[in-house]
Amino acid sequence: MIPGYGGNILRIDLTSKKASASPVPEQWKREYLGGRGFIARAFWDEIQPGTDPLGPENKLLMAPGPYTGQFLSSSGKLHMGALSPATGGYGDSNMGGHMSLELKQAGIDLLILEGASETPVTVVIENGKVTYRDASSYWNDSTFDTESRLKQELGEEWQIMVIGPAAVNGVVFACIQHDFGRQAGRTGVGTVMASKKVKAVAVKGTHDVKLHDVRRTLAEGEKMMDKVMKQPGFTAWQPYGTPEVVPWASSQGVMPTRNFQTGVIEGFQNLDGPTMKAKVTEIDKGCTSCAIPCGKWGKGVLNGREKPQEGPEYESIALLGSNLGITDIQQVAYLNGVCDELGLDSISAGNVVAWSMECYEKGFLSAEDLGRPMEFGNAEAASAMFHDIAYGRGFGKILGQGVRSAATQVGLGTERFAMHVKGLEISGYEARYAPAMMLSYLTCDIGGNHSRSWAVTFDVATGRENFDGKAERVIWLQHVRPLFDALGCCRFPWVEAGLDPESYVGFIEPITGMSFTWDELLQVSERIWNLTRMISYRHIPGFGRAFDNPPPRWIEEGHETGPTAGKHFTREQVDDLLNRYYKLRGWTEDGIPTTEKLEELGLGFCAPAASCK
Amino acid sequence: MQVTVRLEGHLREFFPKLHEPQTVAFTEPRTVAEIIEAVGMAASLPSSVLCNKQRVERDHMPADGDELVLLSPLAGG
Amino acid sequence: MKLALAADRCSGCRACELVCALDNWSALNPKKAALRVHGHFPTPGRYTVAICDQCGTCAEVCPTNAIQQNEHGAWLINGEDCIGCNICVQECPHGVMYLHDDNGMVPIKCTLCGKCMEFCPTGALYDADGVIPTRR
Repeated sequence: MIPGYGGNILRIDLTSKKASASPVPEQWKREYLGGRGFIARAFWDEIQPGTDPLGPENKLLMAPGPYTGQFLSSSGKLHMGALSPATGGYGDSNMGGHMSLELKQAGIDLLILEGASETPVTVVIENGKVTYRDASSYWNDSTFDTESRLKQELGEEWQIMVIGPAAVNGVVFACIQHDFGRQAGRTGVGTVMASKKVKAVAVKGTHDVKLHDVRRTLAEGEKMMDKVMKQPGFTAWQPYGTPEVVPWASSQGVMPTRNFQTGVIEGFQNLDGPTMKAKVTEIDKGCTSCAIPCGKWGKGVLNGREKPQEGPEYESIALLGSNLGITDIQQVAYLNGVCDELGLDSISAGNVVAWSMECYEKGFLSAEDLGRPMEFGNAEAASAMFHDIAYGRGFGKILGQGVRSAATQVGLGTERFAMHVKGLEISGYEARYAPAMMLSYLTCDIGGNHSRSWAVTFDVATGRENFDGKAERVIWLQHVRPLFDALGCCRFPWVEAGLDPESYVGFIEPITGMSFTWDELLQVSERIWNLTRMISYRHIPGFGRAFDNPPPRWIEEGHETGPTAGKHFTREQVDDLLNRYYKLRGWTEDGIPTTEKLEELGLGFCAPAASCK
Repeated sequence: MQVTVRLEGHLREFFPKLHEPQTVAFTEPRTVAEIIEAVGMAASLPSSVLCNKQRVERDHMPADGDELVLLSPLAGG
Repeated sequence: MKLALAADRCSGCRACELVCALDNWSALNPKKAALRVHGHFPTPGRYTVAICDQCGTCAEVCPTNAIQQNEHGAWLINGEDCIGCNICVQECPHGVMYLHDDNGMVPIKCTLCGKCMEFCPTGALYDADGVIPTRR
């Protein structure tokens, strides 16, 4: 058996309350590595076309990877996937903290939650044993209260993941929360968990994770830990974390401001890393084995009320700060804490509330419609609306269905500034005049997210008007970044501290005994990329180029201010970018993998779906 | 007077000349912004600049023999 | 070498637990570490770390004298003399003696190997004697 893994697929049927374990196929380890790779592979078999994302046939999949829990910087990552209630297609999300190693130590490489319980439960997994506790009395509790309760009831050494009121009330962008501040944020994985009436999953694992060569793995780990702490990027970045990029983002005109109306926010200095460190942060808070923790714990403040929270990260600063017209870091931290406690994805929540603020300011929706005046800059109004969303009250109920749905329901032309791709709210980069970043958002497999491909510096460094090399760059990033999600570790030592990504190759053989070159690892990523494309193709009628679509704002309006004022691409230019991308990927003109490409990648089993439509 | 300029992080791949520290010589004091432009990069492109390991603004004027390190924008995730 | 703690620096990463078990037990299993990180969230919002300060209480209470001090000042358990009574586990003032099925009845105890101090990224664990350099 290939070592470096937990060992088993654990299938839990919430309807019958029966659990069964079977060894994870060895072939999967070679072809998909783990994490996102196992998620994608299992997704194809387990979730059939026609499945209702909120029905019992949908499955919530969770998988650590071979690098999870290793003594290399930042190995505490867990990948999750399900058919998304927000987009109707492939949905996934990645969560830090300490849960992934615990699952692995419990002997699990893939957790499948299927069916639905009649009554709310907490699923308790202790090594191989699965039991259920009645969660009715705390079904509506906040995420923090639930995790605290379970730590007290079970023991502080247990790892807990929970959903909050947002998921319970069917918000399509509800997240799964863990370790008081880590989330599987996007695509509504929390909503799927709630649909199965699972309030929490508690895990304790005490087994060794077997390694091919322990001493060599340890030696590689010691070398890497040492190296990452000596990177110049480490010293500059670590005190501040991801907020470090705020001044750069605003000065380059890529910081989403007031519902992506522009990319520059006056007062961005009040949102930057040093300001956050001075006004919010109390301690660093790190995932498993992380030498460079991005996590910052501290208190948000709004009108004298304090709220402890982890963050806010750049994304939350963008979507809950500049995008809402708020430039007070303490208020942003407070709103981040609100989202965390309610179990809302801060990116989607900030995006959809910003849309409602623009609707209010432009007169499409009144204070009566919305429940209150929703001006940009009004943090109290934002907080109140987050609560309305999480509890399904008033207009919050409509917003809780996502910005695409809300704009469709309201109409009146508000769809023009509903900032989503494929029904997933766009994250923190204003990309209308950045061709590689625009392409990244259009082709990201889950919708408007930046995690697969972050190409903003590439656009700025090589020219925003220059289209050459952009598709190549996006494709390369879409293979390298999600590779970490398949390996089960964090990309920040590379992305943020400047470690050479190829230095990760040195671990695969001592951990698993399998040899991969860097290019062979990227081939696994290409396989996974094509598989997730085919998954969405199978589930979404008409899926293809039409879904790789920018919001109208991005091809109709330029920014009012900033370095790219007045500029945007045309529909023809977007099509040009997509044409280049599809050609390089070996996809049809409609953006579907050809049978040849699928066969080449060992995805022949997907080919009938490609050819019969 | 002269200063050395080094580039760290992923911007290095777009500026291969700066893989090795460059020496920039000038006859009168220059701002950090001017020095960055002198090595062929837009002054706003690096996310921050260290002068002798201390963070400085673009209008800082280095002294003879100072070492500048230009840091690449580090992704917000 | 003297293992010391500056708890306000701890980020809860548990690299110490990982490297302790890897080095002392050749096991990827933080449950076999001889120290424990404890999170206290959401309030007060801090980490503490239970560490062994080689106080020798375990040796004092051991009925078979199975615990002896080496030349570096570390108290170590001789597994052959251990009868698994667990009195040391109960009496340890810091609660840092741990049991794990894989080690049978013999408790796991800090050997003062120094790895945790060497790799703690924040300097929360450090050598009060200054022999092992602190990272931050």
